[in-house]
Amino acid sequence: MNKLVIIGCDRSAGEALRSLQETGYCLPEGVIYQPLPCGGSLDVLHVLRALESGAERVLVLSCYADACRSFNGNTWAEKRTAAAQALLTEAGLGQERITYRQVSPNMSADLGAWIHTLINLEPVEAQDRA
Amino acid sequence: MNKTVAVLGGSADAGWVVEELLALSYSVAWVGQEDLPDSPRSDGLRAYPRSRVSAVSGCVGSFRLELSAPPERAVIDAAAIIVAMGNQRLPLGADARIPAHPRVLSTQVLAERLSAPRQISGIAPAQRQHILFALDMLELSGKQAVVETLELALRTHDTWHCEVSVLYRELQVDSDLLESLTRTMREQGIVFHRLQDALPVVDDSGVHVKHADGVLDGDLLVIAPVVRPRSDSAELAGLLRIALGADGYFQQLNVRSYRPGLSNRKGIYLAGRCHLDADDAGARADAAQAAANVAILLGQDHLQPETVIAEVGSTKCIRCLTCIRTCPHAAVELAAYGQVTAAKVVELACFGCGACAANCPVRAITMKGIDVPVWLQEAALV
Repeated sequence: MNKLVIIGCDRSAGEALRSLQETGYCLPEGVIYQPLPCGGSLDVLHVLRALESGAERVLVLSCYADACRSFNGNTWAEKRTAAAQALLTEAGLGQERITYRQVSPNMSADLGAWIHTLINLEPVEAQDRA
Repeated sequence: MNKTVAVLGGSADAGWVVEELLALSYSVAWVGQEDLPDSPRSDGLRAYPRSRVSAVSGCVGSFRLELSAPPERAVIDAAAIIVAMGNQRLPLGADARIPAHPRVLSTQVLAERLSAPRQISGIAPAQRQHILFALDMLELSGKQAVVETLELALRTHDTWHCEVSVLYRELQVDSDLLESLTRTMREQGIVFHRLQDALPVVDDSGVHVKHADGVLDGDLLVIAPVVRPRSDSAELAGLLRIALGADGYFQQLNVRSYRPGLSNRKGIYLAGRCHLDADDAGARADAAQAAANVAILLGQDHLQPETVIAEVGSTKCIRCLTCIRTCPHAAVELAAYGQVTAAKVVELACFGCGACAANCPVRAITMKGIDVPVWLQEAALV
């Protein structure tokens, strides 16, 4: 089962991940990176399908405001992530399964830290029981 | 392939762009609403002075511009377009907040007086007079206006041997020219003060301006010109379907990771002070960058689409026009597929961002050239 699916704009998140990998970093087991051409092409279904396929958590990454090559791709990504979180809340599954972050190509260290944090969190069900 | 480049604008910025393009052996069609500055004579240059673009169609590689150039109309077929309209300077009297008084001058009037010192009438400058130069008095002065005003202040000090002070709000010394200019000015005893948010008070005793450490009294106040985007920028942006920023200047794509001067449409580039605040040296460098952008686009004998592009399934399309509205790159249009009309993505113009695919309410748009894992299939990308 995948612990974490990262869905991100390949121009920012992809660049950050590639520079992280150039330092010798390997994605931990159970972590999958799915590139998008732009945050604007994120669909709510992408996030839901990732969870449906067994992912424990989804991390959506897009560019910072004013840094998107297509002007407002980051805004679309943020809104659709919020819509997916609202659907999860409605279904009683807990919106904390989905995390949204803005990233720039030089934030490889931050990306590594986010991945580390997310895969070491307790499973959402355990949190609910607590 | 047609390798004509249309340069829009009659500013000095456009002149530099034309020079750069001619040096790279491109054919240039130069369109300006005013008389065009002198340019090098070249067989590759067609000039259209006092002409206005009235319609634009086509896409990268095959733009068609219709000009209204009285008494006749002209049509230009161009592979690429460079917008280099420059900005506009407002006359001093355009803002009622600045008191109309003989002690308050524009830089232009002072420059004329400096050139003809014997014709000075009214308040004549003298060695003991104190002349204040104000940058950013009402709104931020453009970089070129700052350079010209500081050079004028130095020239005034050297010519009339009077006391000179400079008032500023945000003076960014970020070029070699400004660095050496401000250093020379300080060495010659010219003092810089930070302006407070207050308008000058002018009376018969002189000019009084509040600054960070008190009030500065002077005999003359010279105000740097205010620069604004040209009033016809919005009209041209609408015709070209390129983005205008909230400040009224043309907006270039992501300034952090991409080449400067790219607009949101392929084949349309921005140059000079219609999209950035620059002095002459900066605008000249930007003109070279714009020409380089064209050379990258037209350097080969054919145009290449992006590896990932969108494609419309014409039988699924319900012609809701959502894709046309949401495409940030104006790459989608309506087209006839036999007897059916549906949206069509212009391949050469598509950046492959996928905004149209994600927004399509009937999922009629797919992305070509992208690998989709099994768990994501049936989603919008498939």
